[in-house]
Amino acid sequence: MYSTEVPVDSDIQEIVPLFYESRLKDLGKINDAINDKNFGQLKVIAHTIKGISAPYGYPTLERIAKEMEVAALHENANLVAQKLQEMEAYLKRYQV
Amino acid sequence: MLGRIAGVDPLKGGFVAKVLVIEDSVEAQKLVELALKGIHELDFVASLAEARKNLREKEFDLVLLDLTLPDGDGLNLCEEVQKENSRLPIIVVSAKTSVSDRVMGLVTGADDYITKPYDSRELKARVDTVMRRTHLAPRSSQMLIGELAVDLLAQRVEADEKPLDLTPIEYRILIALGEKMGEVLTREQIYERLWGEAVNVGQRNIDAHVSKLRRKVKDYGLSIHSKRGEGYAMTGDKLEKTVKTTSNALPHGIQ
Repeated sequence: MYSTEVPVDSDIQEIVPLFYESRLKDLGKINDAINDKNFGQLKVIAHTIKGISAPYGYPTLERIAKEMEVAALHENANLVAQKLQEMEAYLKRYQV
Repeated sequence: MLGRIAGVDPLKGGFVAKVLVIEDSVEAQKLVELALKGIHELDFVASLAEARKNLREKEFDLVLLDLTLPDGDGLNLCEEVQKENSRLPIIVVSAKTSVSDRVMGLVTGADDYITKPYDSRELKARVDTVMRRTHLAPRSSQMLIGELAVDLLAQRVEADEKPLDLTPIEYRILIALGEKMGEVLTREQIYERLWGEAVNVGQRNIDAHVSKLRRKVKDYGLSIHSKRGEGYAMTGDKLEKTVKTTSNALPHGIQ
């Protein structure tokens, strides 16, 4: 079960698990892309998360993803890694 | 690339649009589905390659286009559609939110640009607005089909400067076939153009209307051929290129 940061409509709530589990997979992909210094891939992943997090009830995730996208744009691997940790910690809070 | 006239839902009013949603994120697709399901018909694809294939093979009223796709930039597709079928409206739905991104999308040919995240009510309202704008107001006011001059705004057909007496159904069949000169339209495609998919009218009813239309246009350089098991095609007897439309009579966006 997963909770959300802000309440969402019941029809969205039903598909929150799909969203959440995809983000867990993203954590692994981001980690791989950091190791490969694949900033293009990092931008795409962060961009996607940024665009869809708020409607699923995770506005802070949108903010973290936006910061990660900018870090990837500047090819700042350390900052991307920092945002990855932040993202991971944030997501754990909503796994109940 | 194919275009179509959206069907009107007689119960809800408004258009039942067939929408191609080009979006690679399943979660983003779900959000579109929640916003538009039950109102419009939705086809989802996740890449530019799939989108191009669908646009070649099917007819759509509207495209919802994400820009960041696995095989390229959605703006390339926007440009292609603009060149090949400028009557097919496109709404860009993107997390690229800067003014320059939005301007670029609109300049490239998008009819609207929605930034993610969006409210589902906003998406629905923007879709309805674009549909109203692009499908109620034809972009060209005049059309030549063979020797027939068609006034699309007045829905009037003239031959030798005299009105040709067509029923509303015959008129719409003429436009449907005339827009696809030489191509076979299935009865299903013609049926959709006439009534939309919400009304249950037997497709064979079209045959009688086509038959009457055939008799009315045969003296004006036009033949309607029936292709067994397929549908109908219209050809021009004399002119090599028989369909022409004038430049936009209405400024884009004015109803």
